[in-house]
Amino acid sequence: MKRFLMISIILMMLLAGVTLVFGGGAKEAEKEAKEFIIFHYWTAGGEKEAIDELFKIFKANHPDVEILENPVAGGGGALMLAVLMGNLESGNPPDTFQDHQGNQQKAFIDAGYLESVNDLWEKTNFEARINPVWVKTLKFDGKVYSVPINAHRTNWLWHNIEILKDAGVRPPESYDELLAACKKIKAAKPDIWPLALGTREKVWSTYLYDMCLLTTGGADFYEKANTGRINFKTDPTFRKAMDRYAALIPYIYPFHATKSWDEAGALIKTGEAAMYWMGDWILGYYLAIGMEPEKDFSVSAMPKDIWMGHADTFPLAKGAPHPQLAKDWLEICTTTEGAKNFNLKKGSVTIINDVPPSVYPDPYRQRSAKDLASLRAVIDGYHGGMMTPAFGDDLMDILTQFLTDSDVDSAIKEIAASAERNKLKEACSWFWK
Amino acid sequence: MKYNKAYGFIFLTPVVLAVGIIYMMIFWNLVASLTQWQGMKATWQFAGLQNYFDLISLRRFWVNVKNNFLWLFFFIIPTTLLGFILAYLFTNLGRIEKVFRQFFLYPMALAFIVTGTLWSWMYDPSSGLINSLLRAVGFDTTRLGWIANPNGAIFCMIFSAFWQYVGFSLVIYLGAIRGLSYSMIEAANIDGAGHIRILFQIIFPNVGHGTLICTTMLAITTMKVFDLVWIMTGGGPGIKTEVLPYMMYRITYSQHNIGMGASTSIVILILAAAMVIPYSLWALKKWVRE
Repeated sequence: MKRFLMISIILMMLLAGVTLVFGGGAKEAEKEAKEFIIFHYWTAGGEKEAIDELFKIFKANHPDVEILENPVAGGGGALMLAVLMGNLESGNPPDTFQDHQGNQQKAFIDAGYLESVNDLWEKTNFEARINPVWVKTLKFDGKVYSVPINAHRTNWLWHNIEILKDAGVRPPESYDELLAACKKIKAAKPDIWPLALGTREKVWSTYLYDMCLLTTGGADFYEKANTGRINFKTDPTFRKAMDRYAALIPYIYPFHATKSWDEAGALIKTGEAAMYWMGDWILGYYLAIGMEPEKDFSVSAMPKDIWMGHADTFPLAKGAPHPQLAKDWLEICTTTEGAKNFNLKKGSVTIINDVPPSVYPDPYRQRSAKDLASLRAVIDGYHGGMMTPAFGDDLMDILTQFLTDSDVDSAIKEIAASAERNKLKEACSWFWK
Repeated sequence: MKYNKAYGFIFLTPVVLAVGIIYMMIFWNLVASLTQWQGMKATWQFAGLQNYFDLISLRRFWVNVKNNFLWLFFFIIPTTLLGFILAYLFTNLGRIEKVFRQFFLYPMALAFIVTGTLWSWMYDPSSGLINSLLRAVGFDTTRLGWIANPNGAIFCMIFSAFWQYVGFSLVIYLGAIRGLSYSMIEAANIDGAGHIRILFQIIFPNVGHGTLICTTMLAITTMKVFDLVWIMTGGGPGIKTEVLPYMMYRITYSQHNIGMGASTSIVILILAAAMVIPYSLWALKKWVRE
């Protein structure tokens, strides 16, 4: 009798559970039709306001749709990526998510997680409105899978105006001027480090590498080198670029291993360092710590005739639960209004060239927007997805080591070995098709 | 009750299963280390020993091996030695010992992540506690990089682990010394042996089991030290403070080179086994079973 009671209780509990799950499920399905699911990691101040601008427009177009954000805070998206990968693998994708371009996006495409949006690009005449570099790095075998929303420029050299003035140095616009400036600053003020750097996140060592490639061999060489189309071991231009990197090392803040990118940026404020090679997101940080543009700090582009940077993109997920809403979202990203409102808050510039540079309040972004619309552009090695993430991760370990020993020979040897091991040339062949 | 083999096996099944999972994983890992597996999807293409050859051709690998050995010597020996000496001093302390023991043991309660964060704050060259104190008393600290100094970083890191683990070896030795008969020490005392002589010639040879436990446990800690490296320097400056487990993580999860990551873990297993097993056998024979 006792046993019978036990079994019936267990059965009843099971039944209750089943009804709950399925009953709830039915209700969910009803609700789902009015939902839009988006994954992003723009949760910090400034970033959050930026994406809210897009939500505002989206809400105005779809007042009855509930936006389901799954923002995972900070960490450069590593956390979001882990959650996202789980969702994609289990066949439960969001409608769209925050992504990069180039090889970073290609990983998703290869895994079959993205759907092409060529029709949207054609409908909005997108290709004609943007710099060719975006087409080149977002089109894979004739298909595009995403819409880029913002462009961050990274070939900026920020400097402390007072230190440069005291040392009698003009803001450098080429590698030679940079090296000369470093020497002059070091001679005039031995206590000040000419170049700031933080390698607590090792990726910043690759930004200096990109700069040396770009200023030594030009844009075409840069693209070839970062996609593995040169022979690293024997290429004379590559060796020259590495020699130039090594020549800068004595002028770099020596304790860079303990600094994150913003802490290293603060060295410009405290006057411990004079110049800093960093993307334009540092502008928001400088304003936040109370530095005044054109009074405390300014910036020069290097080389001045090339725009380098990267974009954030929104791809369309394959099997997105609400494909139409997702496409509407992407379309908002292509509009002048959406792109402008987003980028004004985000601290970046628009991908599309039809937003006039004069809308930006600061001279730096005005110049970035103007240059992006008119100059040859290239994308960053690591964050831009020019190189594969696997090679890039290896590269930053090699380069941070190089920063401690200035050993050009072994750095070249290791880069060559890593490119071969990670099959860099094959993996990047899409770029040259 | 009559001894029944069948029952024995039945009752052992859960244990065998649990342990079996570990060995299955090791075997699976061994197989993966022989494949060309790159990227997130398994390929299971046989590559022979290629991963191992790739691995030993890396300069990084040898730096890592060297660092692991630096850890072994500069972490285990000082920690054991100081723990032992402290334990001896503690036995002479009397009742206040209970209080002091807590002080020394508290760092053990911290996770490596906490220790690492604390010490990397203190070591920070520009705003850290150590350099600030030195500056306050008039030292020139512009060249003192601590963990930012490529040559000294690993020792700074080992020191913070030493700080954390001294309490551990202290407690092990305290227990071991308590187990000794006091008459032996008294006899030595009467014969006119000094403190240092008593310590190293009378007590040390008799707490061999303590030394065995302490050094083996510390050796295992050094072979798997990862969190401290991760939080304090991320292997930097450059690769100067990297250890094999850290490189294994980078290769596997950052570069998605699963085959090579698996081969790194096999190398760690072999190295650890090659050190710990002969040492334990030797120590057991010498100190415990005599």
